[in-house]
Amino acid sequence: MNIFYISLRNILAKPLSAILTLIMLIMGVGLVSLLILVGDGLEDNFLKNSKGIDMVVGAKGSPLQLILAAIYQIDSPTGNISRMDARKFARNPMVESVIELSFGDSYKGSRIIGTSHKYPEHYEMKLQSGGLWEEAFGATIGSQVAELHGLRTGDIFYSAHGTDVNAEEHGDHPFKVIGVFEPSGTVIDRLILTSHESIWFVHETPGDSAAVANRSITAMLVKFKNKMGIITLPRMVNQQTSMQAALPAIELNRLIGLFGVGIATLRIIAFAIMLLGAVSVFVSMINSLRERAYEMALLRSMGASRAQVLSMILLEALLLGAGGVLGGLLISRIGIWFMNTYASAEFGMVVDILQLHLPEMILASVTLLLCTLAAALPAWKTSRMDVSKVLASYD
Amino acid sequence: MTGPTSSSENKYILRTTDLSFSYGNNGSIRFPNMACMRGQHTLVSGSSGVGKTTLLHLIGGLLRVQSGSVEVGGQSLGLLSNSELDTFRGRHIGLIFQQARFVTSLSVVENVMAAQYFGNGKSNSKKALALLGELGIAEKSTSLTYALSGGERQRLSIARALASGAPLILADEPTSSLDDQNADSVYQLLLREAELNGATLLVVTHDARLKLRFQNVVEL
Repeated sequence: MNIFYISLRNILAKPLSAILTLIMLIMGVGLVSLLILVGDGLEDNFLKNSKGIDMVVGAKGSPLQLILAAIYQIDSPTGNISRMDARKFARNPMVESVIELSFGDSYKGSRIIGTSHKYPEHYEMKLQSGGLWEEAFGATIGSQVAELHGLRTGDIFYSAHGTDVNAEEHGDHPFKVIGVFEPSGTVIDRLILTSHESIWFVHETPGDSAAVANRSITAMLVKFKNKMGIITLPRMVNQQTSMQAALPAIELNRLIGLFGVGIATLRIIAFAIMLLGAVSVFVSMINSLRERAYEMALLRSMGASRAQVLSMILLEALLLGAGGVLGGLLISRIGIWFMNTYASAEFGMVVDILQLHLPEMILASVTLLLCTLAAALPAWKTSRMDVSKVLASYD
Repeated sequence: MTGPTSSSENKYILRTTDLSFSYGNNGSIRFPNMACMRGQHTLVSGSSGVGKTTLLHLIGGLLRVQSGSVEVGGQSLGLLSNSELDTFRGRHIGLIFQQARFVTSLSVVENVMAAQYFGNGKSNSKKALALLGELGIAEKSTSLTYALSGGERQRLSIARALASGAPLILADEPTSSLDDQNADSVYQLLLREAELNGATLLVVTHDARLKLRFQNVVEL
């Protein structure tokens, strides 16, 4: 027997009101925590994938679209550019390195990217099995692709034109899976990598020398030698060539600005629900103030001090708050786990659910503080009551 | 009667001197001086409205002494700080109220254990069960208190008052709402339990039936 036990029993004695309060707290905390996890995951994902990429060169069009298509592989490409033009630009002394990408074909919705070994090296990919592609129509696939389509090293598949699931199949050029990458949390998990030639051969008629001379790529990821490149290189590409240059940092900021309003709104709603939970703590404490006054007076008559009465009521609120925090964090993790497991292709990212993020610790402290504050007034009033008067009023 | 004690102060479980109390502006209630030796069960009698409950609350430390003094076991209650008074009350005074009410979220035995915990700083479920056994309600120990009958509630409130081993048990009108037969059995029970636990009983009542049973009677 101690005050913790009595507080717990007092909560359990009113299961409906406790459940109502807990549900509000859990929903509020869960939603905020989910937003934090998804937000962190998105940011992580964005940063991880755009790390070391200073600029993207592609066909003219929307710069945001170019970034989303070339770095994240979530939008359609803006078009193709001449490989010769791209290479000419790549020789600029301010350019440290480039990675050429040819894409536009897919296998059952998973994008096929024609590129060089520099692309997986950039993301420090490791192989789960097999090796990197060496010849045309050899492919090394990301872990999610392997899982999604049940592809393993040595399997054969046919590419389709476009990136739709129902795209038209190129029936005469079978691809062979040479290797499978380990999961990395980067965009490559969702991609099928092959050589540029595989993409070209699919679309060219054999012996067409004009086509060979005008071979094109879709985009080029560029890394500058130093930060000065950011001033001159984009302008140079945009003004002097038929290509377009887009800066990931700028476009991503724009993107975050676009859906940031939505996230901010959700966050406000979530905080409002959490606040409602705290209000519910307050209301249930105030409601039981009168009926519990006598019981608390009884405990005082048995020798309980004011401080013990105060602690018992605050503890009750803290226990509810702690239940809300634990439940909320659990719910958000279950949510993320579901997304990770069943919708990783659409979700496109892996969030570490075992880790407690710093904003979540702040969230937990704020929730506990709010609940304690909500109970502070009723607790104070009850602890200062006139025990003799309360006891006498019931006799 | 208890045996001889070393300290002359300790001979008295309760002494009140020049005690008076006032609720704001309504004039003050004066109480006669009282001196109860250990084991000398005492009845305080008086009709309604003369301040019986007030006296009980003053002795029980639920009201602060305004003038005069209350000494329980030699300790003057007026000299204790609020929190010291809480501790003292828990350890030395057991209270039985007119209405037998309990902490409803706790079971029967837990109500007794709560009194042990707040009285002595720790609870002892074995002792609590033994006490319930003495009072004949051991089989109800795990029930919630609302499941008890009127008689059982009375017994539980006696058990609660005795739980911390307090040497002074204060009972406020324990029998006034009962018929003759039940009033008698509650009185017998109170007396027996007080003796068994080495406590002195102070009953405050207007119930004339009890008057004959006490040798030490104080009229308000």
